Amino acid sequence: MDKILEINNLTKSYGKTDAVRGVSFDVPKGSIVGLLGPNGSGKTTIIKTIMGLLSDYGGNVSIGGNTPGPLANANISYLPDVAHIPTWFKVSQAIAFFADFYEDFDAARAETMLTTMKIPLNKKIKTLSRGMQEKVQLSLVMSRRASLYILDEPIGAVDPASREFIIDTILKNFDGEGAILLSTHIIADIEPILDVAIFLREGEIVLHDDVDKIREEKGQSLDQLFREVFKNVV
Amino acid sequence: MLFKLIKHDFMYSAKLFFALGAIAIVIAIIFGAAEYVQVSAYLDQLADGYAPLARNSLPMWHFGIMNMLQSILIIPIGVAAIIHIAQFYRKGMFGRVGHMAMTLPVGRGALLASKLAVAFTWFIYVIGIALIMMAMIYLWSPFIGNHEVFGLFRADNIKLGIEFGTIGFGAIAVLFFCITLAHSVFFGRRVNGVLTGFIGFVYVGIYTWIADMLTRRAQPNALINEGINPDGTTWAHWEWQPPLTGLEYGRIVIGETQWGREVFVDIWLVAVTLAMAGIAIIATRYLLKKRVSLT
Repeated sequence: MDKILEINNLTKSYGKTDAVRGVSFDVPKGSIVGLLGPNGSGKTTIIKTIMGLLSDYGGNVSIGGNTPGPLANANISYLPDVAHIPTWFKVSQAIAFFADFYEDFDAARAETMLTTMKIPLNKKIKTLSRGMQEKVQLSLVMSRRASLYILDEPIGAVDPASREFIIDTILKNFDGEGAILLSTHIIADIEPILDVAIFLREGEIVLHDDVDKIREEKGQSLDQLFREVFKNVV
Repeated sequence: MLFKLIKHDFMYSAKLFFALGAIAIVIAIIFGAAEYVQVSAYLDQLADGYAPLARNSLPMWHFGIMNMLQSILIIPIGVAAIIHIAQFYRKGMFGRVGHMAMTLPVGRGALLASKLAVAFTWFIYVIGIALIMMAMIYLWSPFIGNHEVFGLFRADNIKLGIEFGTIGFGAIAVLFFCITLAHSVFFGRRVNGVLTGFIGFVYVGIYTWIADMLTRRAQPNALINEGINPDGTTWAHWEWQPPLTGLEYGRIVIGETQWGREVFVDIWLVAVTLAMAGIAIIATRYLLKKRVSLT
């Protein structure tokens, strides 16, 4: 199976604090991989390293044969854990912006998704509710034909109804040609769509396996196992 | 791709550019009117047969108010530049080196070049405003056509040119910000708020101090003679004083009879400098605090 993302012995420190310690994993084509762990376990640091937001790290990161940077970014559709689209943009401007910078962006698809969700294209993003803003971001990200989708806490701050919509949007727009790497600490909602789970604790991988295999071997759901593994982690 | 970056960067800047331009034109009109009033008062004195040694011998309150007015009118442009730059950090697409900018499929050189292009445009813009303001003052000047006193007008223009030229420090400040920006772009680190505040402080401090020093030193305050022609027009003969050294300048400030006025102006300028620096620091720190963190 082709590997879209390869990480070998990744380390990253903030001053004297080790945020990521010797992390290695692959993301094969067609898979949905979950980076799972409590807050502060290193999920976002790993993602930021892949996206080139952090440069002083140790180990190797390869995205389709490229190191993190502009070439790799052209093939990654990234949803950060913060609002990253300027909120003074109108929704239509955000679409135009994505169309300008990403060759694989399908503007018609984005417009259809947003119209279906009854999000007005001529309104400024800052005038929309938090949930709507999240939907705009996700719609734009999922309207690209990227080889790797990186979704950092896509359901972290939304209500259960919106979670369902987000997961549905992810699945509908994932054609299996690429791969998805998503991070979350809310396992129950995400579990059904994951192929591979990676449990992170204090910057280290404590479990890395196929989700079906984990369920079979442990005899419990991923959510139950997560709660057990991290029950003493604040 | 670079052009796309610049295009989107300017889309963000456009409204502020126009807003500031409109404010500058209003300021120019007020400034021009103020100059007109001041110069008219001087001409009236000449017409009455009173020949002052220099324009500066107008009543102190007049001098003080005019200086105050000049400071109040000119400094906002510099402050506006600082606030604008800080705004770039807070919500500017490429100024704030956030996720959006850093995750675009563009090289970091292009990212930086885009910001420099905007900074350069700012430079041209502030110089353009200065030229417009000077042109406004030229149009309002009652000296036009009177060649004998044209020297005074020219001196005034040069003085104003120097003052407005210091607005160019705004552009230098932009470049300073670009350096910190470059650091952020290439090393993936967030910009230091204290450093930004310090740059704001240095900018405002240098702006006010150098503007004051240069304008005082360059004033053609050696009036050789002046009077009224038979046809009623006025004439004056000015000579330029060579630039003063720091010691000479200090001697004049302390030792001459004008010391009271000079001290008054110095206190005023120090107060303005400190106030503006304080505002700059508070504003930049406040805006940076609200910025989404990079790491």
